[in-house]
Amino acid sequence: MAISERMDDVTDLSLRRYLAGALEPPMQALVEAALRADPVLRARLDGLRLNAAPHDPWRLPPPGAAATLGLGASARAGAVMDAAAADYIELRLSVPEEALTHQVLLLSRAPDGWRVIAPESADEVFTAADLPAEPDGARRVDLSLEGDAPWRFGVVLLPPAVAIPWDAPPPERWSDIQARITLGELRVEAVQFG
Amino acid sequence: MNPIVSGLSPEGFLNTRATRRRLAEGGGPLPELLSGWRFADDPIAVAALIAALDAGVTGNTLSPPAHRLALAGLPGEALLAAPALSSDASSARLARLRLDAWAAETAPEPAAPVTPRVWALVTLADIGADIELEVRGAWRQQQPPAAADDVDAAALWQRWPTGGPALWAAREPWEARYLDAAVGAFRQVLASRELPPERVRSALADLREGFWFQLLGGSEGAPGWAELAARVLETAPPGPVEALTGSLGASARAVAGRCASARGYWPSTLERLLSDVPGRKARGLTAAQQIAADPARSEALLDLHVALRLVAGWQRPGGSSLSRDWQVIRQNRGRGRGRLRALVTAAPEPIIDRICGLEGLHERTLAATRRWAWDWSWEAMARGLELDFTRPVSAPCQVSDASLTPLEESARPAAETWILLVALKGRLGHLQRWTRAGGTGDRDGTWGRLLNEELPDSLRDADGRYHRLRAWLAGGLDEALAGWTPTLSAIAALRPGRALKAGFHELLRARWDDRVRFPSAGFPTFRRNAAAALDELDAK
Repeated sequence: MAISERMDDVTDLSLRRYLAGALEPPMQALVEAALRADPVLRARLDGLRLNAAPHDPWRLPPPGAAATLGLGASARAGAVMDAAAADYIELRLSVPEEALTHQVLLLSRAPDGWRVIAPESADEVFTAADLPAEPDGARRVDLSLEGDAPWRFGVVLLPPAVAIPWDAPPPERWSDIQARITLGELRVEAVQFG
Repeated sequence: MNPIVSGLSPEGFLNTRATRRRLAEGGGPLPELLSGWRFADDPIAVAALIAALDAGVTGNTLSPPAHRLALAGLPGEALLAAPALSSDASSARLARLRLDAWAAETAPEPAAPVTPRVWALVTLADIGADIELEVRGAWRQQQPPAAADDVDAAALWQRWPTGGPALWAAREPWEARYLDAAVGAFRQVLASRELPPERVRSALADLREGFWFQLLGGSEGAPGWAELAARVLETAPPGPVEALTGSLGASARAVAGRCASARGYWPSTLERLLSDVPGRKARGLTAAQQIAADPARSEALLDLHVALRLVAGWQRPGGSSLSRDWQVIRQNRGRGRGRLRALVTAAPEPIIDRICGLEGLHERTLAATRRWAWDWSWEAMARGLELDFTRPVSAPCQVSDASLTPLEESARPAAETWILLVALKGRLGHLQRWTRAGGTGDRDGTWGRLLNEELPDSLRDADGRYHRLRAWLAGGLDEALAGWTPTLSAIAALRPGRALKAGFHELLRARWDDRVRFPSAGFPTFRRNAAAALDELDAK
């Protein structure tokens, strides 16, 4: 057994922290010294390396974080009281008057990232004004629930000047909108349910 | 034979060891023996440390483990055969850790035994030198400058205090530079917990989306960018403690002094150092004045506190270990820096100019992001991976009521025992959150019973509340937990089965403070929770 295996200081967690580059300089120096001296430790380190993670180009804000951008959304179980039994939810959007002419983009977050669920083609484009209005003025969208809880949905409002290039393949089709979301230029909000 | 430390041969290492032993046996000169410690040239501070040490010698409570005493008494030639000195290592501290592990395993017989006092002085000398060389020295390592990246990083940093569209325009370049650093830290933490892949993917997606918003900050406390700026600032020369202290305004320094007079084990440090200053609050004020006159004094005060905590640890039942000593050092230094960072974070705008002038700013920001994200990920883990963008990652510096009387010395063994009970009941996260925020964010029944039924009355305030306990925990929890680490390890290593209860009793009965009820059931769970607590402590 190598000495390092008996030392409490260089644990698997400190090796993980080393791989993440998150050790403070003194511990970093100690782990580096231990690694130089100990092939067993180096083998342990290699076993903890992770493969590269894929990126999702969509940068929707976390639920609640972007309320200042002007769009309110909430979710509730549709027609039934028990959330677990719900098969759809109602999104209620507090759309400012001046944004009623904006196109609505609805997204759903899947395990591998966000995907646009509506509109799916140029024929299906709709504006906030096209959505049913509630008595309090909120606009309502019903969405079916697929897969397991929790479900997360995103709503993006596109001003008339922002057009969706439907002829472009999906990655390029959304790149301008993704960049505008990142820059905080669009009204956008995400909501989680379940 | 390979050198054990860059520029230092095994013979050099052994010569230094022999010199320290000679000085310790001959009674000094102490400033030379303790030269690694920043208080070494302050006779009052040195006298305070020696008085604490001698109290342990006189009271016969200073009882280092046999293998540590034996190691100190071994002649240098005997060490040359030890694996620590016969293999390559570029760290004196690592060499000492390996020697310690070797001695624990081989139990060598010393030819010339040393007394516990000499052992303590030599150990203090070794640790002081290692702190200077390998702790402060590591922070002093220059970051490689990268002119273009550094200019870009400075331009991005300067946008944070401005807010508005100009700041949002910085989102993409900021995320392009630093988001992956945060993701890398989260991924390693998530991987360490072997979570289902879909939970990992979901948490990482949350992080990617929330990174910017965490930096923007929420309704509570300092924004994330200010926390990050403080972490960049602490990489500035001459070292983290001085860099942070030097950036404090007068009122923040006063808060630092007031905290030191009331939190954790600091009141006893100041009492030993400033014994001629009557009153706890006056001592806090004096410490603040000393820091104001010379920011370097903060490093000396922290060093003295660490040295006193080491000496106190060596007098605890259950013995000491070199690993535990370094836990005490890491936690006290880390806690001190964390407190200073929180103070700096409260008024962050002035430090932006300071960090923008740093060489290697891009690399410093990357490193700071990784460390900040590491802490953030553990905070998130404690909340079931819910990323809460409304609060900062680090606890804000809550100034305790100036009139609060610190928890008495006599109450502390009960507090430490209760902390162990909390850990064994699997509620360490609750205790940490409660210490930090005064609440746990849930209605956990076990935690409620620990607080309402298991906490001894002597740890409550006169009106039944917990202000004194929380003030003490704010500075003392980490060290108390470090003190229990060997015990937690021993509990985690107990064999399950019929003998478990007896083993538990044997381990704990002598150290358990009777003001806390000794548990009568739940030992298999305690064993599992001890292992989980060790994991959690390791993460910090």
